[in-house]
Amino acid sequence: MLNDARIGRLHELLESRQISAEELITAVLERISTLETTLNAFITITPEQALADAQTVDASIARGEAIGPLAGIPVALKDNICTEGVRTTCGSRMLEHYVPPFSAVAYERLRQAGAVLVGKSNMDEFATGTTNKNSFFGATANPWSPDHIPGGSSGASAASVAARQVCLSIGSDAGGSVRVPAAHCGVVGLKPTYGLIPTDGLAECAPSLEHLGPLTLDVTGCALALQVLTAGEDYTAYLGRDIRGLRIGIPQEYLEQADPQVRSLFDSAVQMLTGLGAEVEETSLPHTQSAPASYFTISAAEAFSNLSNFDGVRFGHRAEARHLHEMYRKTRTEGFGPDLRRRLIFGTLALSADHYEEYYLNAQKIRTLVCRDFDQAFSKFDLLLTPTVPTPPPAASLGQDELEMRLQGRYAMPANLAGIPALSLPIGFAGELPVGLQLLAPSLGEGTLLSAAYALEQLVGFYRHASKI
Amino acid sequence: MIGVDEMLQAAEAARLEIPNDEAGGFLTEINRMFAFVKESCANLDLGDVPPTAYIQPRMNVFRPDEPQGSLPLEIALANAPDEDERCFKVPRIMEE
Amino acid sequence: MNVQEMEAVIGLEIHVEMNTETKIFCGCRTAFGAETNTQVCPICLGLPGHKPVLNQKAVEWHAKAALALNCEIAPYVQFDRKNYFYADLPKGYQISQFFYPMGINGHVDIEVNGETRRIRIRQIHLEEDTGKLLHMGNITASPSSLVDFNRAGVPLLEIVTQPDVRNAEEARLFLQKLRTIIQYTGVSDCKMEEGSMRCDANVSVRPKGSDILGQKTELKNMNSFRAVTRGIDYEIPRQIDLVLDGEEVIPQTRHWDEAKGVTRAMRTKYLATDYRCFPDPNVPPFKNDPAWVEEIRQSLPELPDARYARLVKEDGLPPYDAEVITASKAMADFYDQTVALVKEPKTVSNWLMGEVGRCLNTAGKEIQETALTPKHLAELLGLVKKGVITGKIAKDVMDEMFRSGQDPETIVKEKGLVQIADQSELDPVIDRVIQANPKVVEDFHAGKDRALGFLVGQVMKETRGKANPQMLNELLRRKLQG
Repeated sequence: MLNDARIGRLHELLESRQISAEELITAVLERISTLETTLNAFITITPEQALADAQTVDASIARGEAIGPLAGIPVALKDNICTEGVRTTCGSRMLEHYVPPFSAVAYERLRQAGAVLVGKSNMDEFATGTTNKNSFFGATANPWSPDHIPGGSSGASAASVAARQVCLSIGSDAGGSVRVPAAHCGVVGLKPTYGLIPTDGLAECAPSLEHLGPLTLDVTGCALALQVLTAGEDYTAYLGRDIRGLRIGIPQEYLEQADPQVRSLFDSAVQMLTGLGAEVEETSLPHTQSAPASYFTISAAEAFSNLSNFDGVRFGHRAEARHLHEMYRKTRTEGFGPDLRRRLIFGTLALSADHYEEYYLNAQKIRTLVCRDFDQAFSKFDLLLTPTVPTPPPAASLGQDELEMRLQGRYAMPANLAGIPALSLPIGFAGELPVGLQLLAPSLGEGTLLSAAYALEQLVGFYRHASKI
Repeated sequence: MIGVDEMLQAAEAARLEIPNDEAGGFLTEINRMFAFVKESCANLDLGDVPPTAYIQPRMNVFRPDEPQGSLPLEIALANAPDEDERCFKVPRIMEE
Repeated sequence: MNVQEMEAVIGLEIHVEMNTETKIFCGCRTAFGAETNTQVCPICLGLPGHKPVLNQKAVEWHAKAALALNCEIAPYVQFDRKNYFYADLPKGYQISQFFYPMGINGHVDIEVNGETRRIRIRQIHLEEDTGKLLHMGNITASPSSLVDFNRAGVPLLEIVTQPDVRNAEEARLFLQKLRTIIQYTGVSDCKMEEGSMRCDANVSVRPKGSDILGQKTELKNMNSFRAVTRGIDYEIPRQIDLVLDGEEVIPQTRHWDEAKGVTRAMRTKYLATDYRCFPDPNVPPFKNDPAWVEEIRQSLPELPDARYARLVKEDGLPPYDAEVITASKAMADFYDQTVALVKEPKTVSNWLMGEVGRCLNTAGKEIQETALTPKHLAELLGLVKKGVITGKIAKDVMDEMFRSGQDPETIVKEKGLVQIADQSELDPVIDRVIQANPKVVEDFHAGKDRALGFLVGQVMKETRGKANPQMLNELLRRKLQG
């Protein structure tokens, strides 16, 4: 049943009563349990609630009611998305036992659509990381090769989908955290336009950069998920559209650091698109190289402030201490891992009176330049094309060169600075490891992304491959 | 570049401790980051560029002045690490 | 250098809690006096995943208050984060307006010793209030503290003056005027005893004539007007003494100790000096459309200064009366509405300042909290004017009106208080009194004025105050003079 775990296909099976939701969820829970020691993709699994929800869907089907495309579909939420009554840890010791009293809007929409939450996905602590090794709950493996990282910070979200543990994961993306793991795990990952999916209930670090986004096996699944998450239009209307005459730009700056295998796959994809009638041309986004500097600074500065509510007073970890400020220090030092602490201190410095202009303010200025680059490009092109990540998935055993690791997101970060939608589509293998292609569109251009991605997917059909695990 | 004292001051401002054995490593990584950022700006003329604080064109977002959404007391205190007399309890404010 | 050659330079920072139904960024109620932690939600508790949404009314009222204080309304307004750690601060930062406040360059005029002094307002911005700390014992001795977050997120206006205030009396006058103006707008009830108005003072001293500012201290914890004046009156000489002794005034925060009557340095170790302010990414900025600002301006009631001017110029009230009447909007409105019915400004003013004022003081109430209405007051004055009741009786009727809320006509009827202005009714009483007091009559004839008063009093007593005084006087004189 789970060999082809595409949402569309499972919906057909459920609708035609070839399988029941309860059977589906039972199979999913078994698969999760079998793979957990190797994969470690889940922090919390919710079997009782999941089965109860599945039964509700089955009852509805039995009554002859029509069900939506996500009804009965197993879903995993990244563990920084609040789920009322279900532990939400953000991958951190700070929230090891925290149970939110409210649910994220995105989760509520999924629930209303009948989707079944089976668990909360592992993640880099508070979404700081590109490896998913930075979690208090241990690292997650890449289903294509346990010796390689799945990417991060939504690494487990992507891994779960790739491993057919779930059909849909919701991750968060402030600097590539949905798209990078999507590329490394061979699944479709979308970062929509800023603000399109409400982030109420997302425990985020950097609100001006953060987005929620779906991870699925195929583009159709992505469109179905997007409709529910945005409580918006029918995005499947964009699938199957002719892309002849679509003007696609290839910013040269994004090819500069690309690994040769990635480059070669990218070039093949470009050829395929040309073959479909798209008009492809080279272009330039001159400020691409300074985007990471801007991203690092703004995200750290916002994180310093946004994580100040973790102080042991109202919720979460609290350390023993005789007075208040000692409690703050010990709580936050015990609760946050070293990478996160370092990030917060960098952010504190960037906002200090002595450094504000040179670092924080300049970062905001670079942001302006990156936005202008995109504005100019989109006056000539409908779509921009880049590799999602410069390299194939790195080995897990690689020492943590923090800066290098973080630069894995360098092709993804500009879209966060500008708030434009970006989709990662798996296009092939570098050896046995997946590689992704990134499509970028102007704000609210999700339709264009889906049309082009779908057209390409018909030729590549990556979802037909099954991961090792 | 940043010196140890400045780093420790910033850590204190964020109410974070840096154990002695981590301090050196922290300083190195932080300075690497600063150097990287500085280098990235080196060839840019940012003088007249206006800073972007908000990327969404969305402005004037409000809600009406109507009550909604308060939590019952037990739920508000449910995650409290320590509580007393229907309040959140914290250790003494002043140091000895 | 001596004391006479020194002057104090004072700037005030006033926080005013808005009277909106709900908090600034969430739908929790703001009502005072609720049980601890029952007006809280994930947003104002700063739980992970919270997202603020701005209260429209708070913005409108902010503009209203700013206009009432003669401020310019900035075209672009931004909310920023002020980062620091304290137990009553749920998010570890306060959302305020640091870079682009909505109201700037305003002023309030006060009358000091017959002169008008202008206290300039640098800015008025909108921010959120913190929770409340409850210490078991006091802050230095408690082993722990309790935190109530009901107040966290209540919309707060912060008004910052230029250092134009020169002494405690000016500070007091300014605060009173500010309070009155804000009360007129309806934005806050400005009750210092309930904490809906708080004042901190920045105090420094310098030689008169100098335009260089001295080192300043920030005075906090002054919880009443009296505390503000006492605090400033303590701090100014303290600083002057230091300076004249050749010592430095240390810039620091000082806590007013009400019991001991002194200011005391607060330990500054954990008071952040660098708040690392930056634009709050969660609250979009807003632009102020001039048409909207104009609409708000039109919605302002006639403000105290304008009212005062009208009462003096058009109604011919003495300045003192006008000041008392316009001290509260409710009183001023009551006055206007009564005058519209009675058309005798001075009479109305006398009654409001006199009898009505007395009743209010005794009951400890404000006029809008009573059952008294302008219509009833007007009726009462009408009854006096028509001679239905005497002025003295009217005072008793007022007491009853105040107590029961009944209209005066009904009270007069029920209690039989109609004035006796019928000679045939008065004659027998007068005769009786004259007969009963021969000695006094003799005194009268001997030229002792008080004798008449005594006899008048006796007739009043017998008629239970209902005798018409003029008629009584006339008749009594006639009868005595034979």
